[in-house]
Amino acid sequence: MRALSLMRCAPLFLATLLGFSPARAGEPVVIVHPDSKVQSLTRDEVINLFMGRQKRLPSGLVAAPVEQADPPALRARFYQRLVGKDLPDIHAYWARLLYSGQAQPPRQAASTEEVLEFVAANKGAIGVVDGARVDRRVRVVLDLGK
Amino acid sequence: MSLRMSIGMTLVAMALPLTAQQTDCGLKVSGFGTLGLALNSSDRAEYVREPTQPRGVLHSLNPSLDSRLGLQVNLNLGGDLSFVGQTISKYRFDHTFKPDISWAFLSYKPTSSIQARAGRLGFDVFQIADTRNVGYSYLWVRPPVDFFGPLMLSSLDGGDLTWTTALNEGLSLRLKVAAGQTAAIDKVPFDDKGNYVPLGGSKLFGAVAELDWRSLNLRLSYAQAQPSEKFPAPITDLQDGLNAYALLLSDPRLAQQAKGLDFKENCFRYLSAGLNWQQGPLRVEAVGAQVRTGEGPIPDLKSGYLSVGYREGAFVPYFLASRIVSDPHPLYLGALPSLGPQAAAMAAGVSAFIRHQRANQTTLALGLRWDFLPKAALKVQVDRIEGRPDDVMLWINVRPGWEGKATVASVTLDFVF
Repeated sequence: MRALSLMRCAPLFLATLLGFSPARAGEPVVIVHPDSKVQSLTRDEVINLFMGRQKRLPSGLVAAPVEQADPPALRARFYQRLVGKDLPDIHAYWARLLYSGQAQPPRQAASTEEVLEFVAANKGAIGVVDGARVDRRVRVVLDLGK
Repeated sequence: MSLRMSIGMTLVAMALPLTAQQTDCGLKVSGFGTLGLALNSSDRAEYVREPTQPRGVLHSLNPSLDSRLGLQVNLNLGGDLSFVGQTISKYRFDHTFKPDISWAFLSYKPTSSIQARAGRLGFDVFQIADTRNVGYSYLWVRPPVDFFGPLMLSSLDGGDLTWTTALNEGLSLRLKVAAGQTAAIDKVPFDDKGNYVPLGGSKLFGAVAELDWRSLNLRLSYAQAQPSEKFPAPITDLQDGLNAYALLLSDPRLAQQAKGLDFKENCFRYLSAGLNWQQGPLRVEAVGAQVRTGEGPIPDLKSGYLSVGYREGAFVPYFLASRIVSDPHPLYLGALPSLGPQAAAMAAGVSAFIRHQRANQTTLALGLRWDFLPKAALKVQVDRIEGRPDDVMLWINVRPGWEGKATVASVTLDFVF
């Protein structure tokens, strides 16, 4: 319990801790920019941001969701954990939202490094990466592997 | 930061994930399409997907029924403002695939809870109505004809306002109002001579209340359309004839019937309730709707569908049942049928016109969707349709011997890029 509250007030410590990879490899974690003023997000908040229902982070910044397109395994696990849906269902869902002009799907990055770079460079960014790849450039706000 | 670029409508592009073409200036070009083939067991009546199609499917393989291609641009104008433009090419009233502008609107979304749009918009008061051309987004080869056949209004020139609010954890409410007039792109052919009923220019109003609770979506919608134009010549001829006989026979009820045949005298009111539930591999969708017309002889309609699918890996077998019923309004023809050949022909013309406004049929369908690539799905579906042969709203070029029964087999390749 004490360790948890320590983590909340010391993001750098958290990043260091994650550098030792408490999250298992291959498990998706949700990350933001360290200066986004977002310490943690609930599952519902992440659903709203990644499913196009919410466009701002709780801190008020316009959110820029980003995920890694290939290989699809991590994305598949992320959406299965988040909303219990397979990727084809997620793709069909986005086809419905995009082509009715309602919302646009998250940015698709080509690699984990690209997700990390994008999140590290944009205060409003929110990304999904393999928990084992997190470094101190970003902050973990939800660990779906837990 | 370099984002992946994908170009073209090739299988290579389809194998890429849902990225489309994204650039840093906020312009995104994407698209969707369907290649389809369908076959009808009957050669007595042509099966159509929507009444805007001038010819339908008979005994030979038909690619026009379901095939379509759409292109869309999303332009981020900075801040809360964006532009969406969309064009769709599909088989239309004049036997061509000339593309129409389906969307061209500005969207203003200052907060997560409010969105205002103005321009040419999708009229999404009915479930999936604004994505009916995006085959990839739904389970079936095409939206159920018994339900969407009469709901032809797809684009609205005007504006809409959406308000979304979270009521509780996992529970949200969305309210939407839309107003304007129907876009001029929807035209319904009614003979082979190029005559059509224009659906554009009707005053349109719609409202939707939608409740999302975890994987359950409930939807209640209302819309009304007040046509601004008369029906074209062959039908106004019938009205003129009825009015002439009303004077000749001093029968004001005939004049009333003539008035009721006027498109402008019919305010169409739609009420619909729908449910969509997706839990794990199971997906259920059920929608019911009612269409009320004017005081005249044009009948009211009730329709609905139920769809159940179950995902097993890349495959989703599904079952779809749909039904449409017409509530006839009384048709008064007075002494016309027994007044000699000319008057009888008039009466027959009016009756035939009313039959074309009626539908009474049930469709049972079985199908399979196969998501064989991240951005493409292959579907096969068999529909069994049984209905009253006299009520031919959803059929074209009905020939003698039509018994109201047909089996339609279809295959589609749906993709987004």
